[in-house]
This record gives sequence, C-alpha cells and structure tokens, in this order.
Amino acid sequence: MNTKEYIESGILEAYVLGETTDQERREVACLSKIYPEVKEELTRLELTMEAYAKAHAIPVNQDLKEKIFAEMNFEETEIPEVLEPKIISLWPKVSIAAALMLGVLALGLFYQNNTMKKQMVTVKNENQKMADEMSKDQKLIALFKETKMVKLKGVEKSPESLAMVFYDEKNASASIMVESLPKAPTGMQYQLWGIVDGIPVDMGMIDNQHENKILAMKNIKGKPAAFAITLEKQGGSPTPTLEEMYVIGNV
Amino acid sequence: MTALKKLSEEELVQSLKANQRQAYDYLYDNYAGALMGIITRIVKDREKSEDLLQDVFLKIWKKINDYDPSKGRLFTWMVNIARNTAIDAYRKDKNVFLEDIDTKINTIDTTFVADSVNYNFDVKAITENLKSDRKVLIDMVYFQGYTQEEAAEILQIPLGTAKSRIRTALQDLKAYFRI
Repeated sequence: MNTKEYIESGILEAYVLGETTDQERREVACLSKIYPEVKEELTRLELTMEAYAKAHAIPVNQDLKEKIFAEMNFEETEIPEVLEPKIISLWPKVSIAAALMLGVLALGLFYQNNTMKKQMVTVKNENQKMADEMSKDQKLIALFKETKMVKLKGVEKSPESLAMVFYDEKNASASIMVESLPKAPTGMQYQLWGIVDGIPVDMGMIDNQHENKILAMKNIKGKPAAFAITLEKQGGSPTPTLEEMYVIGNV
Repeated sequence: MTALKKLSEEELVQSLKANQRQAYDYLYDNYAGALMGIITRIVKDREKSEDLLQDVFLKIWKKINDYDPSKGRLFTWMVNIARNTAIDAYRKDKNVFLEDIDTKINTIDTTFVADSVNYNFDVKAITENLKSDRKVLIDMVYFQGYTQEEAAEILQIPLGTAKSRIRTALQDLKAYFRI
C-alpha cells in the first residue's frame, strides 16, 4: 500500500475532525496499527486539534466541577488505619480491647487484602492485554514486510464489516485479521475464499474467537484475484453460499 | 490530596481506568475547558452547555473502559463524546434534523457569534496564521458539527476543494503549534 498517498488523501484529517463513517474509522485504526508513518501523522493531527481546542477553551468554574464530582464515586485508595490502643489497667478491659484490636486488625487486613487482590487482577488484565497487543503488532510488522494487504469491505448486507487479508504471493500463504464481522450464530462459522480464475477456492474457516487475532489460513494454488468471506455451517462448505457473503476485496 | 504533575497519556489512562479520583481531577482541570469550548459552540447556550458538560464528563467516567488507546488519543475519544452529545441535544432542542440546508445558509452568520465572546489571545494569533476561509471550514466541522458536505454546500464550494482546504488548514495549524 502507498502510505504517502493514504496520508495525503485527507482521511486522517477527517478522522480527527470526527468526520468518518464507522467503517472508515476502523480502517484508520487498523492501518495506523500496521504502518508507523500513518500512526505518526495521525498522532500529530490529534495533537494539533487538541492544541486548537485548548486555544478555544471556555473556562469552567469550580462549582460545576464539584457538582459533577458529587455524582461520581471512586476507588478507595487509602488503607484504613488501625486504631491506636488506649492504656487500660484492668485485665478484663485489656482483653476486650485486645479482642477488639484483633478484630479491627483482621478487618483492616481483610480489606487491604481485598483491595490488593482487586488491583492484582487489574494489573494482570492490563499486562495480558498489552502482551496480546504487542504480539499482534509484531506479527503485523512481520507480515507487512513481505505481503500484500487486501482490504475486504462489507457488502450491502453488512456495510460495517471489515477484514484484512495478508497475502504472501511468493509462498502463496495468507493470514486474516477480522476488524469487524457480526457475531456468527450458533452452529455457523465464517469461511474465507480466494477467487482463482473466477472460481472460489476454500481457504479455511475463521475461528469464532477471532478478536484481536491474526489467523493463518490455508495456502492457495494459483493467483487469486479477490478474497471473500461467507457465513457457512460449522466446519464449512465445499462451495460458498453467495447470499451469505459479508465482505469482499480485490487483490 | 497530592496535586498531580503533568501525567503522560498512558499513566493518565491507566489511573482513569483504575477509577482514581486524582486522575479525574487532572482530567477535569486540564480538559474540561476545551470540551466546554466545543459544547458551547455547538449548542450556543452557556447554561445548557454546563449541563451537557456534566453529561459528557459522566459518560467519560462510565465508559472509560471502552476507550482503546491503540485507536487514537484520549482527547480525540473525549471530543467525539462531547460533539455527539452536544449535537444530539441541539437537534432535539431545535428539531433541526429536518432543517433545510437553505435555512442554514441564512443562520450561519449568527452561529459564529459564540466565537467573538470568547476570543482570547491564542485564538487571535491562530486566526492571523490561518487563512479565514480555512478557519471557517475547520470551525464549522469541528466546533459546529457540520459534515464536510454540508459545510461545502453552505460555503458554495466543491466538496473536493473543502476537503483539500481542511487538509491544508490542519497542516498550517500543525506548523503553527510546532507539532
């Protein structure tokens, strides 16, 4: 893909002005993940509009802030303090105090433990997410070096759908990244087709858990002129159900 | 409460997602004015804008986990929420979704009034650095919720011209802000 042309097409400007369709938005998001130069220009334009909006800021008063924040509740970050014991001379009182202290301590610890557990889960999730994103990005970069990217756009039936096929002509291998497809109904699955000499050739099934994944598909013999995705019964069909085609794109 | 120094975008997003009050303080102190500027220019009513800013800020707080940093900066995401909320409210109020484009041509001058009230030094400097026909376009699309097509029609220029002027304007602004 010619990224210079893409950058100069004006679509990134439209994106930062909030002037793109959902499909275009997904396309910009996807391409900026793959091409660092697209990402860089996008970020610069975003910073530009941020500066522009700040220059046009209208001051807001503190009352409004308080009113808004009164509607919100936040994660407690401070850990409750353990009460200081008072000096009590009588043993019974001491034992009661001790019991109370233990109770408070236990409560405090329990609370602290819970908060920490919660934080751990958040951190773990974040980590996993970042690792997923990174491995996806690395795969994308490796793919991009040798392959042709074919954008499969949604047809009339599902204009919001979008997928990218990465096709390596030399090895005849292909992978797919689904940006958006309607959730496949139970018992159904999406199937990728390559159109070679006008005939659809099966390139394999697309896992229903395709989010944020790049899936390796079957190699294809011959020179595909286009790729398309249809919805088929679980496990696939020998020939595509054309009425159930969701996206298509020419090589 | 400790005042937060300038946060990196990543740090900010992380603390927002962890629902930390300090992060929302920072967000409000640094961005509420910019969002207010956008909302006010769309609805052109100070009091209503304050109500809408409240809606927008609460939406940001509730939906922060939907924000995906890989798709763009936080501010772009927030602006989209602010614009959509303000445009919806304005249309509902004025019932303008059925308004003919011709009537828009006649009202366009008055819609720029909002700007003159809030001119500050920065804006003047920008205006001097940006050709007026380009600034008008940017402001119509970014601040007033017109589509590029509508803006082109109102200004009676071809859509292609409008698009290329918008691109040039953004490039000029980029240079102006040294980004």
